[in-house]
This record gives sequence, structure tokens and C-alpha cells, in this order.
Amino acid sequence: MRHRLGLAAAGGVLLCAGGLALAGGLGAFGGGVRAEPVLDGSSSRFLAGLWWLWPAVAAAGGALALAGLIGLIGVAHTGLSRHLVLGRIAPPMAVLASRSNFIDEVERLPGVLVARARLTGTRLRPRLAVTIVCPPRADIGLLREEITAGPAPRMRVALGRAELRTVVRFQFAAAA
Amino acid sequence: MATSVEDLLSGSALRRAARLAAVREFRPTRLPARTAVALGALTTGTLTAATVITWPHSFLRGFVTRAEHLLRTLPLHDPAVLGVAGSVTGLGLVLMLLAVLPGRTRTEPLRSTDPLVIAGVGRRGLGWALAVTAADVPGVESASVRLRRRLRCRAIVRAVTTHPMPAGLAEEIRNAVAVRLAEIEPVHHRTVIVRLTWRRP
Repeated sequence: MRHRLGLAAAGGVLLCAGGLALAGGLGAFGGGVRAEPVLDGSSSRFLAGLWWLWPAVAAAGGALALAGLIGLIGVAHTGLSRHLVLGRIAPPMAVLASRSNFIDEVERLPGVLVARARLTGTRLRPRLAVTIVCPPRADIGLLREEITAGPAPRMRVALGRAELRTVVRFQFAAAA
Repeated sequence: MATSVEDLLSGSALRRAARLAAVREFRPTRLPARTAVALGALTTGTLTAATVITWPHSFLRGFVTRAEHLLRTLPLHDPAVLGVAGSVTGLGLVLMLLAVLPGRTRTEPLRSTDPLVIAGVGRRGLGWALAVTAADVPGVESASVRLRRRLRCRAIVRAVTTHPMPAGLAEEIRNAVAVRLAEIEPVHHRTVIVRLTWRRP
């Protein structure tokens, strides 16, 4: 849910602002408010008396822009970290060797036609994205248990990363 | 009652953690909506700050003056004001729903015993595997499966048979598909519904 806080905050602000204007326009706050312009004379005079108003508006604009920039960086981080390695997770030779061993081990399991693996994620949250193609009648429950018991922990040990998450996606091949 | 380390490390706690990890992994990330909101905030904030700082030489001076004039003259009940307010409310509601609702995932998360090993199977692939299982039942000519998840999780099997309706065929299909689902172990339990059709051979 952490990733959706920006969406919820933007939605909440727009919902409140739009809802209040709509309620005022439909007469929920009385006929007087309904007939008044959005900015009447008294509110203009009140705002003109606040010396700090425009510096505050500029600061709020800057803060909003900063929030948007952080949001964009978050989006790019989420999108890229699922497909690429962001930062150094392990020595490149160790990654190559352990990945190759992992694929060999998985392809030897019964019911596996093709296995692909790719190291992705960040230095702090490494992730091994695995795609396994198997026949439609394969017991993928058993396959998952086998991977949990053998190849996945061995990959963690080989890379020296105890927190490595293995994300397995099963695909069914067309029946022969 | 104090929670011991053994309790924390017990199988059920691990399974619960693995289930949560799988659901989180395959939950829609809402990247298009998040990108749009972030770009909108960045643009609006930058233009606001730049306009205030460079006033009265801002390139947006004409726009701001026109907007101020409209805000001073248009009453709240004006159709234009109501339309803008309605659009803003609708947009806010859509963003709120996008944030709150879990969304429809294309990958069905599977149960696991290790939170560090997360598994999933594509919804279409799962439906196809279940259809193959249903078609393997003797007496079934062809079968297709649709996975629904509105009010409750369901797997709707549509099977065609050419045999004179044998008693209990629907029940056999239901059992076979339920066994296959138990073998695949998706995180969300699905009720199997069988719709059997008879076709002239």
C-alpha cells in the first residue's frame, strides 16, 4: 500500500476540493453562498492583507513539484527494479555461475520444459525472477516445493545474499 | 500471552508471511496512474512557483489574469463552475478507488511455505490447465474455464459432452478440477461451478 499513498493523497485532495465546490454550488451551504462568486470582494481584501501569502504559495508550489519529482523517481524505481539490476548485488562472475547452476537444477526437475532466470532488484532488495514453462498436466505444487527446498536456498548461499527473493512465474506450454 | 520465538517461526506464521508476500508481489502497481499524478504534481507545482517568483513578468500572466477574472465574476451555481467541480470530484474519486481497491491481477499468486520464494501462474494459463483437466474426464468432448473474482472467487467450467447425459458427469468434472486446483494451490480459494452442455454426436 506504500506505493499508493500518493494516489490516495491526490485523490483525497481533489475529492474534498471538488466536493466542497459542488456542494456550495448546489446550495448545501445556503442560497447566499450559492449565488456568490468563488472569489468575492471581502475574501480578496482579506488575502491582499496577508504579506506572507505569495511566498507561501510559491513554497507550496515548490513542495508540490518536489513531491511530484519524488513520485516520478518512485515510479521509475518500481518499474525498473522489476526488470533490471539497480546497483551491485553480487560479483558478476558469481551471478553468472550461480544463475547457470540454478537453471540447470530447475530444468532437471520433473515436468520442467524450459527455465529462465534473471537477477533483478536493488542492492538492498535483490530478486531472482524465474520463468518456468511446463506441460499443462505438470504438478506445479510439487515443483514449487522442490525449488523452495533446493535451488532457491542454494542460490542465496552462492551469492551470499540471505535476503534474495525468488519470484517464480509458471507458464503452461501447448499440449503436444 | 507472550509469543515465543517458536511461535513466530512456526509453519503457520511462515505460510501467512509467504501468502502476504505473494499477494503483494503480484498486486497491480498502478504505474500509469502514479506516473500521471506525479507528472501533474510536478508540472502544477513548478508552474505555480515560477509564476509567483517571476510575477509580473511571468509568461502565464494572461492566463492567471483571465482565471482571476472568472473566479471574481462566476457564481458557484454557474454550470461551468459546477461542471469543473464535478470533474474534479470524479477525478478524485477515481484516484481514491485506484489507491484503495486491490485491482485485478494477471498473475494468480500461489501458496508457499517460504516468504522468500514467491510463485504465481498466469490467469489464462491456470484457466487453460484446469480446462485440460476437465477435458481429461471420460465423456467430456471439450471444456473451457473462466476464472471470475467479483463477489467471490469462482472457476466456471463449461464442458461439452456428446454422450447421452451420464449421471454424475458434472460432479466428476467438479471433483477433477477441484483436485487440480488443490494441487496448484492458489492463494485465493475458488469455488468450482460446472455448466455441462449436451451436443448431438
